[in-house]
Amino acid sequence: MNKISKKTGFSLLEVMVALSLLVITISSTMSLIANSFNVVTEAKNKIIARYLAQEAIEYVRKVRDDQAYENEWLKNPLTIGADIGVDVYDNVVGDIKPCGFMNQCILTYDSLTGEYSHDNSFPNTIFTRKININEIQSNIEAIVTVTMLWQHKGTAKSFILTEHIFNYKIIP
Amino acid sequence: MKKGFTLAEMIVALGVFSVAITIALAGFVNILDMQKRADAIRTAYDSLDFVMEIMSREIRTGTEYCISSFQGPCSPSFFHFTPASNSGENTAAYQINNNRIEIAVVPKIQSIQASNWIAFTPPGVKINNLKFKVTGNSLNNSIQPMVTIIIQAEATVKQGANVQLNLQTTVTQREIDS
Repeated sequence: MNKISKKTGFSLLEVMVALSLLVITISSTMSLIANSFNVVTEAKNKIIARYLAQEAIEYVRKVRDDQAYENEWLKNPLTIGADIGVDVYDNVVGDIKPCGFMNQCILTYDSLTGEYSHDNSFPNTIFTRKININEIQSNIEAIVTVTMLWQHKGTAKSFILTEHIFNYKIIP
Repeated sequence: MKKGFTLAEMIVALGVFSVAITIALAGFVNILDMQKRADAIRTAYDSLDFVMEIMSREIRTGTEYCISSFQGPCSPSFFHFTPASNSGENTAAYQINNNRIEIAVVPKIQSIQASNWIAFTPPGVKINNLKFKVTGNSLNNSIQPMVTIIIQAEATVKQGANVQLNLQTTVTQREIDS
């Protein structure tokens, strides 16, 4: 009389199938949540990168304004074409230099003061900030491009901010 | 006579069931926990992003950084200026107090009282450092005023587990300071 074991209850196979379905459901939900967690961390990097990029744009604007007082336009240290770095802390009022003189444009962070700079006596952050100035109308208009580069979980991420600056002082 | 389950079958079935349900529950509890964490972090980031955005925009469009004699000198964690709103008739200021950023807006000819300060960041976000670095702000000195804003913040997500957000940005005054 093997009737019971043949017709009622679950076979091991059925149990296995049911269990694996459960495991698949849970693990896929878990990975989805883990992914959203990752996205949050990525959002944090984007927020930091956006403000640091804006900082570089603002600094170039400030130098543009300072040069305009002297009736100048895109004079040293605003170098056209080359990748340059900006350090708002150097010599209190900041400085602009090619990446080669600016810790290869990698930003460092002083956890004590909270300052991001290119001062290589502090540990490097994940962020690299490059500025490129391209004059598109001689003595009138230039495009400032700030490129933020960083790594997140092994993937290269970037954020690019551009601004057109104009020469409001000298009439060509 | 031989209908139904034996005790042994019942025990095995219950055992399998309890193993499965334990795994499932642990998974769901974990999911709930992570979701809460992610949510808390996102809220903290959003509020800090908002505060930084407002401060940088208001300062950028404003004038007279640390000029008003009614408010006294600025310090690294106290900054006042004339916002563009209300025809430049107000003085606005930011400070850090009790690990929160505070804002005050008063008429230009009035010094800020303790009661004028309003909390600008939510209580769940702990601001460890707020710093303003001001250059070129004296009037008509041929140097465009510039302010670097630094925020060091942390949000407590779970007991012992904190996330940090350290922001820095710089703004220059839009109005030309000839």
